[in-house]
Amino acid sequence: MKLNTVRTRVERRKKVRVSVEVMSWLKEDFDHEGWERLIFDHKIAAGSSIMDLLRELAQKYPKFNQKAFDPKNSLMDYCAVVHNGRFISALDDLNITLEQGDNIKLTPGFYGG
Amino acid sequence: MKGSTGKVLRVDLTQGKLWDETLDEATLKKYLGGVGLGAKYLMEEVDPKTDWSDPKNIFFLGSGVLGGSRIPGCGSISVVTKGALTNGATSTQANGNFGAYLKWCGYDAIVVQGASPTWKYLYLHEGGVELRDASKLVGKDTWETEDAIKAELGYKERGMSVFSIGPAGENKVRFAGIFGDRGHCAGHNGVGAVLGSKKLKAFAAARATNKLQFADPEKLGELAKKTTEGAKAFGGGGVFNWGTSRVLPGAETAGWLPVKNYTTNVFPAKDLFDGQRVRPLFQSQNYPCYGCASHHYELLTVTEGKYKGYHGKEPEYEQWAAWGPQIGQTDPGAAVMLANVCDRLGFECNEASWVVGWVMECYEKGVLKKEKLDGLEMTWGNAEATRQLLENIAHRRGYGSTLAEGVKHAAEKLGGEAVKWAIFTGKGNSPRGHDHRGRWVEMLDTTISDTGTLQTQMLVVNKELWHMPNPMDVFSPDHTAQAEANSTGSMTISDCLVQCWFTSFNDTETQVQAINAATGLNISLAEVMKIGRRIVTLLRLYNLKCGLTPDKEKPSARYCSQCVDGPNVDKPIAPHWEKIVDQYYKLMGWDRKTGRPLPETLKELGIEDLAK
Repeated sequence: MKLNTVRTRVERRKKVRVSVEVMSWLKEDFDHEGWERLIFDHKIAAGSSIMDLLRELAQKYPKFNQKAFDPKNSLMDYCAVVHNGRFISALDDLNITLEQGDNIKLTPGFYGG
Repeated sequence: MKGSTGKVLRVDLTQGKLWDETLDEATLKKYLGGVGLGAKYLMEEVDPKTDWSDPKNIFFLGSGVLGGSRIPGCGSISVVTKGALTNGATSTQANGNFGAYLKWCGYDAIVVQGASPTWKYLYLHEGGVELRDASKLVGKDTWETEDAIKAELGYKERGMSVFSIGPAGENKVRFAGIFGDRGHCAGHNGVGAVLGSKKLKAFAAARATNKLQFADPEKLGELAKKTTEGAKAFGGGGVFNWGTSRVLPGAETAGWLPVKNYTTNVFPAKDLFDGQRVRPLFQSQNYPCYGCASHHYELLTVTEGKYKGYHGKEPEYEQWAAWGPQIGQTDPGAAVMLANVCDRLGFECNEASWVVGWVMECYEKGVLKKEKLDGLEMTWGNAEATRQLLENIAHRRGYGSTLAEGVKHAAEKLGGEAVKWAIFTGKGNSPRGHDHRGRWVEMLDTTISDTGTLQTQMLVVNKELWHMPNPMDVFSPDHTAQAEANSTGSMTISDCLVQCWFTSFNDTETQVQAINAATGLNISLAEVMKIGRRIVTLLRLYNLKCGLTPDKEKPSARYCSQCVDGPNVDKPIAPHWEKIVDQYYKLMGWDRKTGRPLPETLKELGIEDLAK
């Protein structure tokens, strides 16, 4: 039991590196000007979920925080998430644990035609 | 009633007669205007057995009670008719100025019946209305027609709004639309072909003196500001600031960009089409609609590549998608050219691109050869061949005449495997410029719709009001059925008013306040929501009389096929389709076997007298 607890603490201190790509007008929330791709690496504690990542990004980028976590709009309305090339379709899936080298793409949650 | 002119202009082209019809308060309270009023005329005046091209079909073009007011997006129009692709009810909208100018000329709507022996156009102005000779306009494209009418009558650019058909409409191409105010389009279900069958080339409305009276102008002013602020805030302001110009790269990422006729979901050239790159590069200039501050729509000049110097409208997302990825074409300048050719010839761009994409796939697979295609090499991305094919279709030359019937008709005529490659619904209409395998609700909406295009959408601001699943799992069968059924009527209300969706975002609560401020009525939110559902149901009842059966409410094999790559490869909708439709019918109160609204459903909507 004690050993497990220690291991968990060690794992928590470990970081994993994930690649984040931001699309379309969401780039403005990340203080990016210009049409070129916005891709950056982000280190996050091992064992963190996609939702943990979004919250960390929101802390770092106030505009994203204000828009994506506006109480009037649910996160998924504002921002669609693609994880390792797979569309994440519901809030439950945001609990997926991130692994070293994972790729996250954020794009406007835009519907209608 | 305040907010309304109290008049509808009736036009009988067979007899060359024009007359005014009174629009009473009871009718407006029941239908609001726009698509609601159009549905009433369609139900009452067009026998369901009438073919779309029969002179007995009517062509309704109308504004609503907010038309010409300060509420943003209310220069728009709704068109209602029996459409050419489905031979059923049609509701399609265009932004621009015409809706406001029409009301300033003294009319809420125009209803055209009959067919003229010679080409005409309708001219509305401060002093009256008249049918004028259009023989010199025949063969002109939609921009040339707009220029020629303004020149003939002596109007400057914004002094008049002109909506016309191009050669495609004149030749009754089943996916021809009407186009005006430099590229705005009411396009779906072949409404341009209906006008062509009537030999009516254009509607021209002068910017007359605004004599409209509204019950509470001060309140309307407040609501106009609120609407603008809402539009600015929606989606973080992306649509307000950029229109749809920046959607394309994200659409590919999320897997709903149509690429090469749904044969892939990967489009490496996506970033070249990003509006943030294209707008400054192509020197775009804002060209706003009546009373709107949004940067939704611009004009531009191509500054690079083979089409350098080409000037025209900025393609909206659907035109970018149509003339870029859907046909495997990677030059944004060529997409600008094709989008403008498409508008000028008078095609609805989505169906046009499903036709061209299908031809390209058939060409690649050897099913359609160069000889059959009148010498055209329809390889993926061949912009010049596409331009020539569009010309052939518009003028019904060679194989273009078969393609002019739409992708469903053309594929079924060719037969064999090629039918499986075409994107359409059982009713004969086709999706907007998306890959709906990544947007299940819109596939359901497109397929069960009674308008010939999207009917409900699902994007509503007031989620709790419309009982939307929240959070929404866009790949859940249950959520798909619930979102579609529960929000039924939301978009219809916008199309009754007639308010541009990019300003209202279907904010029903604000819209109800605006209705009351404009008219002086005290209509409730619940009643307005009921009107929306009532009109959807009226259009359905009409289509049932036209011969609609539930077996036609299915997507084609390719439309609901499994993605072969991209982010939604593991999310096929086909295994869930029947369950989704079962649940949708149940939530709508429709009989699963016949598709008919149940008696209790009609009673709840106050139209039980239409049960037979």
